[in-house]
Amino acid sequence: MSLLIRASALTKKPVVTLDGEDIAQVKDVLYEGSGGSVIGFTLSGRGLFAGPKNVALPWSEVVGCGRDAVMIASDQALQEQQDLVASHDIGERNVLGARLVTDTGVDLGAVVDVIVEAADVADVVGYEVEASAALGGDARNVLIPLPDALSVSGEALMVPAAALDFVSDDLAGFGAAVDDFRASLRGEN
Amino acid sequence: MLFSEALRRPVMSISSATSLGAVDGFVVDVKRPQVVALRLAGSDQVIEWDRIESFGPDAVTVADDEVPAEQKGRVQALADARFALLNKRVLDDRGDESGTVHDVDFDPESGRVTSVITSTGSLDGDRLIGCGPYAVVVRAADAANS
Repeated sequence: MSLLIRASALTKKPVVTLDGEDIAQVKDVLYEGSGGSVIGFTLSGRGLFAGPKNVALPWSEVVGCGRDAVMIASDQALQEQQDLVASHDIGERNVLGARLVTDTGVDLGAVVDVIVEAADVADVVGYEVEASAALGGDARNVLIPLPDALSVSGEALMVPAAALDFVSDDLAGFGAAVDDFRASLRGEN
Repeated sequence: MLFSEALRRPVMSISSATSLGAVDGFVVDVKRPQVVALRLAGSDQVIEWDRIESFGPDAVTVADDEVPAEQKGRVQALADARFALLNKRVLDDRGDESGTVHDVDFDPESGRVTSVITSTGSLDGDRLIGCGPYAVVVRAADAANS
Protein backbone atom coordinates (compact mmCIF):
# COMPACT_ATOMS: atom_id res chain seq x y z
CA MET A 1 0.00 0.00 0.00
CA SER A 2 1.43 3.37 -0.94
CA LEU A 3 1.17 6.66 0.86
CA LEU A 4 -2.22 7.80 2.15
CA ILE A 5 -2.75 11.55 2.27
CA ARG A 6 -5.54 13.79 3.49
CA ALA A 7 -6.69 15.98 0.60
CA SER A 8 -6.59 18.99 2.93
CA ALA A 9 -2.87 18.34 3.44
CA LEU A 10 -2.27 18.61 -0.31
CA THR A 11 -3.46 22.17 -0.66
CA LYS A 12 -0.70 24.76 -0.46
CA LYS A 13 1.96 22.10 -1.05
CA PRO A 14 4.66 23.38 -3.42
CA VAL A 15 4.78 21.91 -6.93
CA VAL A 16 8.49 21.35 -7.61
CA THR A 17 10.22 20.26 -10.82
CA LEU A 18 12.99 17.66 -10.77
CA ASP A 19 15.25 20.62 -11.56
CA GLY A 20 14.44 22.00 -8.12
CA GLU A 21 12.22 24.90 -9.05
CA ASP A 22 8.98 25.55 -7.17
CA ILE A 23 6.79 26.67 -10.03
CA ALA A 24 3.40 26.69 -8.29
CA GLN A 25 1.48 25.41 -5.32
CA VAL A 26 -1.63 23.29 -5.07
CA LYS A 27 -4.80 25.34 -4.81
CA ASP A 28 -7.55 22.74 -5.03
CA VAL A 29 -7.98 19.05 -5.71
CA LEU A 30 -10.06 18.14 -8.79
CA TYR A 31 -12.11 14.96 -8.34
CA GLU A 32 -13.47 12.78 -11.10
CA GLY A 33 -17.27 12.88 -11.44
CA SER A 34 -18.14 9.95 -9.19
CA GLY A 35 -15.65 11.12 -6.55
CA GLY A 36 -13.65 7.90 -6.81
CA SER A 37 -10.32 9.37 -7.90
CA VAL A 38 -8.29 12.54 -8.19
CA ILE A 39 -7.90 13.97 -11.70
CA GLY A 40 -5.40 16.62 -10.76
CA PHE A 41 -4.88 19.95 -9.09
CA THR A 42 -5.66 23.55 -9.77
CA LEU A 43 -2.69 25.73 -8.95
CA SER A 44 -1.80 29.10 -7.57
CA GLY A 45 1.43 31.04 -7.79
CA ARG A 46 4.09 31.17 -5.14
CA GLY A 47 5.76 34.13 -3.50
CA LEU A 48 5.68 37.19 -5.70
CA PHE A 49 3.43 35.43 -8.19
CA ALA A 50 0.78 34.44 -5.67
CA GLY A 51 -2.74 34.22 -6.97
CA PRO A 52 -4.72 31.75 -9.02
CA LYS A 53 -3.15 30.43 -12.22
CA ASN A 54 -5.02 29.30 -15.29
CA VAL A 55 -2.91 26.16 -15.55
CA ALA A 56 -3.62 22.85 -13.85
CA LEU A 57 -1.63 19.72 -13.08
CA PRO A 58 -3.08 16.36 -14.21
CA TRP A 59 -2.39 13.52 -11.74
CA SER A 60 -0.86 11.45 -14.56
CA GLU A 61 2.05 13.93 -14.68
CA VAL A 62 2.78 13.73 -10.95
CA VAL A 63 6.14 12.01 -10.37
CA GLY A 64 5.90 11.98 -6.59
CA CYS A 65 3.45 13.21 -4.01
CA GLY A 66 4.95 13.23 -0.55
CA ARG A 67 4.87 14.93 2.83
CA ASP A 68 6.57 18.09 1.63
CA ALA A 69 5.98 18.57 -2.08
CA VAL A 70 4.31 17.46 -5.29
CA MET A 71 7.08 16.55 -7.75
CA ILE A 72 6.79 16.92 -11.54
CA ALA A 73 9.32 16.36 -14.34
CA SER A 74 9.18 19.91 -15.68
CA ASP A 75 6.79 22.77 -16.33
CA GLN A 76 5.74 20.82 -19.46
CA ALA A 77 3.58 18.77 -17.08
CA LEU A 78 1.16 21.63 -16.63
CA GLN A 79 -1.75 22.15 -18.97
CA GLU A 80 -4.43 24.75 -19.46
CA GLN A 81 -6.97 24.32 -16.70
CA GLN A 82 -9.87 24.51 -19.15
CA ASP A 83 -8.35 21.71 -21.25
CA LEU A 84 -8.01 19.43 -18.23
CA VAL A 85 -11.55 20.18 -17.11
CA ALA A 86 -12.93 19.66 -20.64
CA SER A 87 -11.27 16.26 -21.05
CA HIS A 88 -12.71 14.82 -17.84
CA ASP A 89 -15.98 14.45 -16.05
CA ILE A 90 -15.19 16.69 -13.10
CA GLY A 91 -17.17 16.25 -9.90
CA GLU A 92 -19.04 19.49 -9.42
CA ARG A 93 -20.07 18.82 -5.89
CA ASN A 94 -17.88 19.46 -2.95
CA VAL A 95 -18.17 16.40 -0.72
CA LEU A 96 -16.97 18.28 2.34
CA GLY A 97 -19.88 18.76 4.70
CA ALA A 98 -22.03 16.07 3.01
CA ARG A 99 -23.53 13.37 5.27
CA LEU A 100 -22.13 9.88 4.98
CA VAL A 101 -24.96 7.33 5.29
CA THR A 102 -24.80 3.53 5.18
CA ASP A 103 -27.04 1.45 2.90
CA THR A 104 -28.79 0.34 6.09
CA GLY A 105 -29.75 3.94 6.78
CA VAL A 106 -27.30 4.84 9.53
CA ASP A 107 -25.91 8.38 9.47
CA LEU A 108 -22.16 8.15 10.13
CA GLY A 109 -21.45 11.87 10.22
CA ALA A 110 -20.36 14.80 8.07
CA VAL A 111 -17.39 14.43 5.71
CA VAL A 112 -14.51 16.66 6.86
CA ASP A 113 -11.72 15.34 4.66
CA VAL A 114 -10.96 13.01 1.78
CA ILE A 115 -8.29 10.31 2.03
CA VAL A 116 -6.32 9.77 -1.17
CA GLU A 117 -3.95 6.93 -1.94
CA ALA A 118 -1.07 8.41 -3.90
CA ALA A 119 -0.08 5.83 -6.51
CA ASP A 120 -0.18 5.65 -10.32
CA VAL A 121 -3.85 6.50 -10.01
CA ALA A 122 -4.87 8.72 -7.11
CA ASP A 123 -7.66 6.63 -5.69
CA VAL A 124 -10.05 8.13 -3.16
CA VAL A 125 -9.97 5.37 -0.52
CA GLY A 126 -11.87 6.89 2.36
CA TYR A 127 -13.55 9.81 4.03
CA GLU A 128 -12.76 11.35 7.35
CA VAL A 129 -16.02 12.10 9.13
CA GLU A 130 -16.92 13.89 12.29
CA ALA A 131 -18.45 10.90 14.01
CA SER A 132 -22.22 10.89 14.51
CA ALA A 133 -24.02 9.36 17.52
CA ALA A 134 -23.96 6.01 15.68
CA LEU A 135 -20.15 6.02 15.89
CA GLY A 136 -19.97 7.15 19.49
CA GLY A 137 -20.44 10.80 18.64
CA ASP A 138 -17.85 12.13 21.07
CA ALA A 139 -16.77 14.78 18.58
CA ARG A 140 -13.83 12.70 17.36
CA ASN A 141 -13.00 12.17 13.72
CA VAL A 142 -12.89 8.69 12.26
CA LEU A 143 -11.82 7.32 8.89
CA ILE A 144 -14.34 5.33 6.86
CA PRO A 145 -13.07 3.16 3.98
CA LEU A 146 -14.80 3.38 0.63
CA PRO A 147 -15.58 0.60 -1.84
CA ASP A 148 -13.67 0.45 -5.17
CA ALA A 149 -16.56 2.02 -6.99
CA LEU A 150 -18.63 4.59 -5.18
CA SER A 151 -21.79 6.05 -6.59
CA VAL A 152 -22.21 9.54 -5.30
CA SER A 153 -25.58 11.14 -5.69
CA GLY A 154 -27.88 13.50 -3.91
CA GLU A 155 -27.13 15.28 -0.69
CA ALA A 156 -25.60 12.28 1.03
CA LEU A 157 -22.93 9.72 0.21
CA MET A 158 -23.91 6.07 0.57
CA VAL A 159 -21.50 3.39 1.73
CA PRO A 160 -22.11 -0.30 2.49
CA ALA A 161 -22.82 -0.91 6.18
CA ALA A 162 -19.86 -3.32 6.22
CA ALA A 163 -17.61 -0.26 6.12
CA LEU A 164 -18.38 0.14 9.83
CA ASP A 165 -16.27 -2.94 10.58
CA PHE A 166 -13.22 -1.27 9.08
CA VAL A 167 -13.28 2.15 10.69
CA SER A 168 -9.90 3.60 11.75
CA ASP A 169 -8.95 6.39 14.09
CA ASP A 170 -5.89 7.50 12.17
CA LEU A 171 -4.04 7.02 8.88
CA ALA A 172 -1.65 4.45 10.34
CA GLY A 173 -3.31 1.14 9.63
CA PHE A 174 -6.06 2.68 7.53
CA GLY A 175 -4.47 1.40 4.30
CA ALA A 176 -4.77 -2.17 5.54
CA ALA A 177 -8.36 -1.49 6.65
CA VAL A 178 -9.24 -0.27 3.15
CA ASP A 179 -7.65 -3.35 1.57
CA ASP A 180 -9.51 -5.69 3.98
CA PHE A 181 -12.82 -3.90 3.45
CA ARG A 182 -12.54 -4.04 -0.33
CA ALA A 183 -11.52 -7.69 -0.21
CA SER A 184 -14.56 -8.49 1.95
CA LEU A 185 -16.86 -6.71 -0.53
CA ARG A 186 -15.43 -8.86 -3.31
CA GLY A 187 -16.32 -11.94 -1.25
CA GLU A 188 -12.73 -12.79 -0.35
CA ASN A 189 -11.95 -13.84 3.24
CA MET B 1 37.80 16.49 -0.55
CA LEU B 2 35.05 18.49 1.11
CA PHE B 3 33.90 21.90 -0.11
CA SER B 4 34.53 23.14 3.44
CA GLU B 5 38.18 21.99 3.22
CA ALA B 6 38.78 23.53 -0.20
CA LEU B 7 37.24 26.89 0.63
CA ARG B 8 39.67 29.83 0.93
CA ARG B 9 42.44 27.85 -0.76
CA PRO B 10 44.45 30.22 -3.00
CA VAL B 11 44.34 29.80 -6.77
CA MET B 12 47.86 30.32 -8.20
CA SER B 13 48.97 30.88 -11.76
CA ILE B 14 51.93 28.67 -12.71
CA SER B 15 53.25 31.02 -15.42
CA SER B 16 53.23 34.17 -13.31
CA ALA B 17 53.45 32.63 -9.82
CA THR B 18 50.80 35.05 -8.64
CA SER B 19 47.65 34.41 -6.75
CA LEU B 20 44.43 34.99 -8.66
CA GLY B 21 42.34 34.90 -5.52
CA ALA B 22 40.94 32.47 -2.99
CA VAL B 23 38.32 29.81 -3.64
CA ASP B 24 35.02 31.23 -2.51
CA GLY B 25 32.53 28.81 -3.97
CA PHE B 26 31.83 25.95 -6.35
CA VAL B 27 29.83 25.74 -9.54
CA VAL B 28 28.31 22.28 -9.83
CA ASP B 29 26.55 20.59 -12.71
CA VAL B 30 24.35 18.16 -10.77
CA LYS B 31 23.34 16.30 -13.95
CA ARG B 32 26.82 14.78 -14.30
CA PRO B 33 27.42 15.35 -11.22
CA GLN B 34 30.59 17.38 -11.41
CA VAL B 35 32.28 20.52 -10.10
CA VAL B 36 32.60 22.53 -13.32
CA ALA B 37 34.16 25.71 -11.97
CA LEU B 38 35.48 27.50 -8.89
CA ARG B 39 34.29 30.87 -7.75
CA LEU B 40 36.92 33.38 -6.61
CA ALA B 41 36.47 35.71 -3.67
CA GLY B 42 35.63 39.26 -4.65
CA SER B 43 35.31 38.44 -8.32
CA ASP B 44 32.57 37.63 -10.80
CA GLN B 45 35.05 35.52 -12.69
CA VAL B 46 34.99 31.75 -12.30
CA ILE B 47 37.83 29.31 -12.95
CA GLU B 48 36.56 26.53 -15.16
CA TRP B 49 37.52 23.06 -14.05
CA ASP B 50 39.44 22.22 -17.23
CA ARG B 51 41.82 25.16 -16.61
CA ILE B 52 42.91 23.61 -13.32
CA GLU B 53 46.32 21.92 -13.45
CA SER B 54 46.28 20.60 -9.93
CA PHE B 55 44.09 20.72 -6.85
CA GLY B 56 46.94 20.67 -4.33
CA PRO B 57 46.86 20.56 -0.55
CA ASP B 58 47.85 24.23 -0.21
CA ALA B 59 46.90 25.79 -3.51
CA VAL B 60 44.94 25.24 -6.66
CA THR B 61 47.15 25.81 -9.71
CA VAL B 62 46.18 26.98 -13.18
CA ALA B 63 48.54 27.20 -16.19
CA ASP B 64 48.32 30.96 -16.68
CA ASP B 65 46.36 33.91 -15.46
CA GLU B 66 44.85 34.67 -18.81
CA VAL B 67 41.15 35.19 -18.38
CA PRO B 68 39.13 33.54 -21.14
CA ALA B 69 37.29 36.08 -23.26
CA GLU B 70 33.97 34.70 -22.22
CA GLN B 71 32.74 31.95 -19.97
CA LYS B 72 31.18 28.96 -21.64
CA GLY B 73 27.43 29.33 -21.74
CA ARG B 74 26.44 26.41 -19.53
CA VAL B 75 29.04 27.12 -16.85
CA GLN B 76 27.97 30.71 -16.74
CA ALA B 77 24.32 29.71 -16.39
CA LEU B 78 25.16 27.29 -13.57
CA ALA B 79 27.27 29.92 -11.82
CA ASP B 80 24.06 31.76 -10.96
CA ALA B 81 23.65 31.81 -7.18
CA ARG B 82 20.20 30.26 -7.57
CA PHE B 83 21.89 26.94 -8.41
CA ALA B 84 24.21 26.83 -5.39
CA LEU B 85 24.00 23.59 -3.42
CA LEU B 86 25.08 24.61 0.06
CA ASN B 87 22.35 25.24 2.63
CA LYS B 88 19.61 24.30 0.17
CA ARG B 89 16.81 21.95 1.19
CA VAL B 90 17.02 18.38 -0.09
CA LEU B 91 13.85 16.99 -1.64
CA ASP B 92 13.49 13.50 -3.10
CA ASP B 93 11.52 12.61 -6.21
CA ARG B 94 8.72 11.22 -4.05
CA GLY B 95 8.14 14.64 -2.52
CA ASP B 96 9.72 14.13 0.90
CA GLU B 97 12.30 16.50 2.37
CA SER B 98 15.40 15.34 4.20
CA GLY B 99 17.29 18.28 5.65
CA THR B 100 19.60 20.76 3.97
CA VAL B 101 22.97 20.47 2.24
CA HIS B 102 25.82 21.01 4.72
CA ASP B 103 28.81 20.02 2.62
CA VAL B 104 29.78 18.26 -0.59
CA ASP B 105 32.52 15.68 -1.08
CA PHE B 106 34.28 15.69 -4.46
CA ASP B 107 37.23 14.01 -6.14
CA PRO B 108 39.98 16.68 -6.49
CA GLU B 109 41.38 14.82 -9.53
CA SER B 110 38.26 14.72 -11.64
CA GLY B 111 35.92 17.15 -9.94
CA ARG B 112 33.33 14.41 -9.65
CA VAL B 113 30.82 14.89 -6.82
CA THR B 114 31.00 11.69 -4.79
CA SER B 115 28.60 12.48 -1.98
CA VAL B 116 26.43 15.17 -0.48
CA ILE B 117 26.45 15.67 3.29
CA THR B 118 23.12 16.84 4.62
CA SER B 119 21.80 17.74 8.04
CA THR B 120 20.29 14.24 8.24
CA GLY B 121 23.13 12.13 6.82
CA SER B 122 24.99 11.65 3.60
CA LEU B 123 23.87 10.53 0.18
CA ASP B 124 25.62 9.27 -2.90
CA GLY B 125 26.40 11.85 -5.59
CA ASP B 126 24.80 9.58 -8.19
CA ARG B 127 21.42 10.20 -6.57
CA LEU B 128 21.45 13.88 -7.57
CA ILE B 129 18.77 14.71 -10.13
CA GLY B 130 18.54 18.48 -10.20
CA CYS B 131 19.22 21.69 -8.35
CA GLY B 132 17.15 24.82 -8.58
CA PRO B 133 16.16 27.87 -6.59
CA TYR B 134 13.84 25.88 -4.31
CA ALA B 135 15.60 22.59 -3.68
CA VAL B 136 18.24 20.04 -4.51
CA VAL B 137 16.29 17.09 -5.92
CA VAL B 138 17.60 13.56 -5.32
CA ARG B 139 16.40 10.08 -6.16
CA ALA B 140 14.47 8.65 -3.22
CA ALA B 141 16.21 6.03 -1.12
CA ASP B 142 15.06 2.52 -1.95
CA ALA B 143 11.57 1.64 -0.83
CA ALA B 144 13.04 -0.50 1.98
CA ASN B 145 13.46 2.42 4.35
CA SER B 146 10.39 4.44 3.44
